[in-house]
Amino acid sequence: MYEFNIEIANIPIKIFSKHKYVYEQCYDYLTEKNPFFSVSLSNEDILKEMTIANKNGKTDLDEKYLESTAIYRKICEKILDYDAFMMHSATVKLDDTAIAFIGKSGAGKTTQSMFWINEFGAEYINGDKPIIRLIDGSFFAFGTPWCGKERLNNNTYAKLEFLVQVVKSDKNAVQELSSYDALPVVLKQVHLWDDEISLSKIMDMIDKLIESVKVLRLYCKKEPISAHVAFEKIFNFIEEK
Amino acid sequence: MKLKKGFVLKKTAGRYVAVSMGDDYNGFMGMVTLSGTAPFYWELLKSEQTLDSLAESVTKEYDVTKEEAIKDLKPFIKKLLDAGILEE
Repeated sequence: MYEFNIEIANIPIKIFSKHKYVYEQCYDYLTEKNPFFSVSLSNEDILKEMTIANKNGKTDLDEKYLESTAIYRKICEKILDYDAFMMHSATVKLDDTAIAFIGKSGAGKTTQSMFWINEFGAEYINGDKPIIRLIDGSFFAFGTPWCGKERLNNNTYAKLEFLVQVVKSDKNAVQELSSYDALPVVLKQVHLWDDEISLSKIMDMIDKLIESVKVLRLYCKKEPISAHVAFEKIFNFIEEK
Repeated sequence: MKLKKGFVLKKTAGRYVAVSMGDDYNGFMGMVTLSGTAPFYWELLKSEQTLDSLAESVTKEYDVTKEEAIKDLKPFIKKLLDAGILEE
């Protein structure tokens, strides 16, 4: 049994794990701070994770990977009590601003985020599953050890100011979405919990999130120029402030 | 007719939306936007109702005729039925 503390999104958490894998995965996030809560798994939790993995067509059913994703799942539910939630997105940081690329699988979120790294010197916060936390009225995006196969993450954070929905297209263009149009898009990027209390918490946070960030839709071809189109629009918003 | 289990009504980003519990980006079934009278109707539909019984409750709560109530209820009910949220 491995027992260790990590800190993600300024929340210290104690983890109990059977395998060393998740300890190694969390190496950059280890802390001595007193945990707010602890996470341990039952056999039932592993079986549940296996069911979910099967449903999603995943074949990586080695127990150590299942343990890791099951632990994150539990963390993501408990952090709702600390005004935090996980949002499926490729999130980067440029200066002090976090930009989260969201959208359907295969739409080009990771490609777009990589353009930002290469073209503008942005840094990864988390390439797949960052944690978003409401702190003193503003949302911040945080790196976590759970970040997709490519391991794109840094133990860093920035104020989340833009959500960019990436849509595959034969042109490069960007438009701002109203909160009306943004809602269904954003809801697709989070887990809608199957207990009413947790679901209520996350919906309340999405409500606040949409009011406090700009949501853009980026129609793009998978080429670097599309990043420039998005950058220009975002830069104008920043300049306007 | 009655609400199926597993759906929740929440006011989000300025409107009333019904979402399915347990959905995530791998299986999102979509949300349904509902009118301002939604919370009242939703609460009633937690127990078994007919169009008539709903209209009755509406006339008691709001200053409208039964015909007006039915007129407002019909599209609401249709939306829930189409979304698979209501069982007949």
